[in-house]
Amino acid sequence: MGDSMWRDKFRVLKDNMNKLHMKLIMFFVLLVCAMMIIEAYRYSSLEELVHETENVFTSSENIISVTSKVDMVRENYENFLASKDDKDKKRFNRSKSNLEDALEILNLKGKYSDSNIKNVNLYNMVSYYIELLDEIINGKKKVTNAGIKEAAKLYQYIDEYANEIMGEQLQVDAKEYNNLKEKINKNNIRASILSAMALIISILCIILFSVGITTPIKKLSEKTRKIAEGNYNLSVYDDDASGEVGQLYDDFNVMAKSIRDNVDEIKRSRMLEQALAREKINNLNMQKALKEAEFSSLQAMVNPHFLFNTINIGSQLAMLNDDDKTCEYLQNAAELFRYNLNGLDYNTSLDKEIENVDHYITVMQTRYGDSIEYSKRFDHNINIENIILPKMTLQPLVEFLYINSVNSLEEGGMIKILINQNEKNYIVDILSGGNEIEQKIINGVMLDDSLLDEQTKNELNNSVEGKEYYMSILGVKNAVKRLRLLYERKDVVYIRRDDDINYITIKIPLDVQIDEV
Amino acid sequence: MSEMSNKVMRGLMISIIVMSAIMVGLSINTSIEAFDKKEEQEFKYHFQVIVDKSMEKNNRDELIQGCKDASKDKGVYIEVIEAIDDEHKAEIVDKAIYSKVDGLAYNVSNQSIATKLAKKASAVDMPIVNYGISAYTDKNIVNIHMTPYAISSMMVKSVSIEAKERKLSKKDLILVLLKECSTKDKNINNRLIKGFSKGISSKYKNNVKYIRVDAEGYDVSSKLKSQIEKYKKARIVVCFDDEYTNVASVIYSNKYKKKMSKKLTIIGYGFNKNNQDNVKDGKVKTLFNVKNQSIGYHSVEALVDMKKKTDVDIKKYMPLFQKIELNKENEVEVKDILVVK
Repeated sequence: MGDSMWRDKFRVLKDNMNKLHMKLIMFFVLLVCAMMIIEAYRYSSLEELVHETENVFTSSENIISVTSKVDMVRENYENFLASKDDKDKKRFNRSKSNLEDALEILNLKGKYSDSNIKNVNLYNMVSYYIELLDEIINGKKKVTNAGIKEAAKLYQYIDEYANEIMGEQLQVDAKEYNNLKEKINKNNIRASILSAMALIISILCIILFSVGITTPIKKLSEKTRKIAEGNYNLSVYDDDASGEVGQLYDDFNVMAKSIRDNVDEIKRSRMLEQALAREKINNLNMQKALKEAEFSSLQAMVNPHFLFNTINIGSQLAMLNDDDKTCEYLQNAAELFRYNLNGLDYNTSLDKEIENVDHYITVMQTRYGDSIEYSKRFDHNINIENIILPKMTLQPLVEFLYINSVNSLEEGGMIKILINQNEKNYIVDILSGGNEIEQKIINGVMLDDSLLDEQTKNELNNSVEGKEYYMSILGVKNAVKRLRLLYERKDVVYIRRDDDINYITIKIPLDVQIDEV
Repeated sequence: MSEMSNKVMRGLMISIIVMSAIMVGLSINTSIEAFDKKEEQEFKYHFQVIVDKSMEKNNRDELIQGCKDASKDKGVYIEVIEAIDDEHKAEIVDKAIYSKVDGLAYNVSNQSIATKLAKKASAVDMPIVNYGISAYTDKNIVNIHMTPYAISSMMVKSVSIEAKERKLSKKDLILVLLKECSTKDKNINNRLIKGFSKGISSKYKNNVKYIRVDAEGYDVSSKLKSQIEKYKKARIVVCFDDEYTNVASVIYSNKYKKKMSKKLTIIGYGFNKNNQDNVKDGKVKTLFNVKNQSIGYHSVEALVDMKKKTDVDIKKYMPLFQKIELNKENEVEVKDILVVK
């Protein structure tokens, strides 16, 4: 239990340490500690050096102090010897006391070393000297020449010894000074190197930190820009990212996904709306075309039922009168009207359209004799019952060709219907010989009124050929419009001339499934 | 941050920590050094040892080393002072007395000066060791040295053995070269001769020829050579001086070259670098030396005993004698020989 608690705590600590702000805090704390330690080192080195410097001069100071006091004692001693005055004796005693105090500093009490042994000897010598003079001055010893000589000799020894010590001390001091200088230089160099190292390490750390922080931000910024440009399929992944950066990446990915989803949703909605709108427009256009066709049909027919019935009666009368030609004519005309009567707002099959064309041609041939050479040819493998067209498509096209190319010929002309198939389409060609159809008429048929110039429109509307001519253009235009609407293609119908033959070609795609309604 | 930069960051932080540790270590080291400097040892006694500045460097160093070894063992402080001559030594002794030094060791060969100094020191109850020639003695003074008599007595044993090995005939000579440049040398030589003649085997007594040569420094080579030329029958050459030992070995090796060992044997005294090489090269068969280290050691030992008022047994302080020759593996071997008076 205890172990797992510590493990959990350690895991939490480790996770915390991965965070950027913890790393930053740690770095700065370490840096400050390192700088403080460097300064502490400098300070302690300087302190030690100052202390050593003090030591260098202290020993010399001590010797000088002692020797000067020895001189004072000697002077007072000699003065007393000369004067025998109590004042001189007191002065001697005072100076002796001062000397003893000063001497204590040389008393090492058995702690000998090579550096201080001479001080010990001097201490003993001066102590001996003090004792000797004291004995002489204070009457403990008789003043003799030998005694005075001894005192003088001892003073000389002390002086020589002190000078020797001072001389050696000077050499030692010089050496110490050089050592100190070297030490100071070394310490300065060490501290400078360490400070430089700390500085370089700090700069590197700062660079790494700033790169570590700015690089993911730049990455995110770039990704954000791409999203703004419309590329929504983006995400940011970095296995090494942890802490705040990792959190930022995760949040960005969530945001990008959300945007992506929303945009997809919007696109889908728009596509649907566009499709609906297109459908609506198609329907409206279809209705409009139907209305136009109906209108033109209605214009052409006063009372279609009355006419149909009338024609039928006429046909029966002709049959009763054995007028086969008239009967045939009237029957075909009736068929034409009947086909028309059933409305234009539905589709039909190609075979029915061709049948309608046959009726129309029969009527026309009856009217105009053999001036129309009509033929049909199609591949019997093609199932024309399955080919769907808008109702009243072929007949207007045939009528258009007749009026614009065959009708004006005295000898008449050919009208042919060919049905073929290629890899992608059924090809229904309506051919006519005769004159070339004027381009303005072709434009009037193939192009939308908004694309025609005013002159062309007026010419078409005010055609000298009369209303029939105008109506045929209107009918073809309507048929073309309806074909385009049904197959949603502009190139479903086109008019061309090739080898003095006029062609109206209908291309019906094989893969379009349209029901006969 | 990438894995690489994380690693680098960790490395840099560790560097900061290591650097700080180095700093702390340097600070502590400096403090320890400083602390070490300040510590001084407490000693029981303070002795002064006066050494001749003219003493051969090796011998001097050995003597001082012996004193220092004894000082470590006995817990006393040794102050080594170099002196130029006996008068200088007298002054040093005077100063030592005023400095209340606990004891002195010196080598004063001048009898009158030695006596004077000894009396002075004795007056203040200061123990003295004279590791020079015997002089005035009392309860505070010990003489530690090898007498010329003792030296020659030790060396003559090797001479006798060598004479027997060489099967000397009556005409063959045992040449003893003695340095005699002063009266002092003369006195020493007399004692050497006394010891030698007493110690030599009676069979070879008449083979011995003593040659006193008054030569020092640059003169030694030419004068020795002229003497050596006179005695073509010399089969064993004995020298009691280190310089003579060296020069004689050079002269004879130049004369006889590879045949030297067949022709004669040199037995010498004085353990310096040249003589050591001579032994190694086979020019000198046996070299004798008083172990100066033992003189130094015993001097301090004696001073401590005198200071403690322990009974002083002179035999205890006899210095060691050294015998240097090649062993069977042709390596220079130094043997310590205890000389009992």
